[in-house]
Amino acid sequence: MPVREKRRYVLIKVESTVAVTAEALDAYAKGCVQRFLGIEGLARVKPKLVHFDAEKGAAVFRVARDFVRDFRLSLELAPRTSPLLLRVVKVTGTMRKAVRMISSMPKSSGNE
Amino acid sequence: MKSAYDGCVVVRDVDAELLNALSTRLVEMGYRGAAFSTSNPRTAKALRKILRKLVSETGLDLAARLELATTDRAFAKRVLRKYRRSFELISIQPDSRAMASFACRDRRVDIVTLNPARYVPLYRGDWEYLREEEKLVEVRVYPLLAAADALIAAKLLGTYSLWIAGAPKTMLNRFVVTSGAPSLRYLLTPFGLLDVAVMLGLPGPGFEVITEKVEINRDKISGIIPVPGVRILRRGNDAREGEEKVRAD
Repeated sequence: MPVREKRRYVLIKVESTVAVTAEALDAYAKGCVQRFLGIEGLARVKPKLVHFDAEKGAAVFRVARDFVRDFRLSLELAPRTSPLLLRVVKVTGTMRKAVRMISSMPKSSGNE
Repeated sequence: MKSAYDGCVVVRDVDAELLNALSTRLVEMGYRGAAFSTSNPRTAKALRKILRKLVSETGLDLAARLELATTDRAFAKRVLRKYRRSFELISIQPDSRAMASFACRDRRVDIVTLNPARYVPLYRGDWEYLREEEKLVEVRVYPLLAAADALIAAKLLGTYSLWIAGAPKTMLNRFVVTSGAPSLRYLLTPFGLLDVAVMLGLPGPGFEVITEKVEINRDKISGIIPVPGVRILRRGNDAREGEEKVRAD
């Protein structure tokens, strides 16, 4: 019998000097994981943008539970030459909790 | 992570505004403290003055650190003689075998910083000195982030792994992982430092050992530890935690 895959929801603060769309953010995070872990790593981590609040500069990514550390490391070691910078704020077990945390965050000033 | 401590935040010019911004960001990230590192010993006074102000404002445990990246041993000795008591931490980034040997041997040096751009092997004798003097070996994340190309970053990571693979198992807990960030963008979260340490095969980022080192050096500077092995204990209201108990024993 197939076992349901366990996931975690990673709350991320977006620090950017330019306007960011959800698609660009998803592609950037996946690019960071692929740069650091390769295609196999990307397949294991399975990052997916599930919530994005442009006003507060925060996003929630769904990742495979066993590879949260790999995902966090990929984002932390992303090259700083890019105008986009993602910082992991919190890892939660449910999306509801992550979204609730975003709603309690102050509004982003836009630029770094 | 309550004990999170970034052992190296680089300040090239002692700029109060930048230091303020860095401290605020460190608080936001959940750090308990940090060591601000300069390579110019003459800025000691100005740096310490700003740090005192920031400690009262932010509540962080901030320390002043001097980094020597010279190949001239005579110069290093002169600086150490003059400025040892002006900084809580002193580190050397050796670029040659002679300097590496000196950094491991000299008691006034607290941290040996590994330079991934130039592999300098550490031999058994060096590790013995590091163990005896309870020194720390520093791994910085900044070179990995500043590398323009992924291949260069991979090479730097490989060099770090080479040092860690060559270290005695008992010395792995003397490694500290620091950000080495010169600006806000290069700061890492405490969990980021932990993840880097785990990736390199270290037991942890060494937050406790570096905090302990800073506290011991503060006691040495203030005269509580006048010579190694001697500690002046205080009584009554002046006593620190555990001192009354030691006196009773």
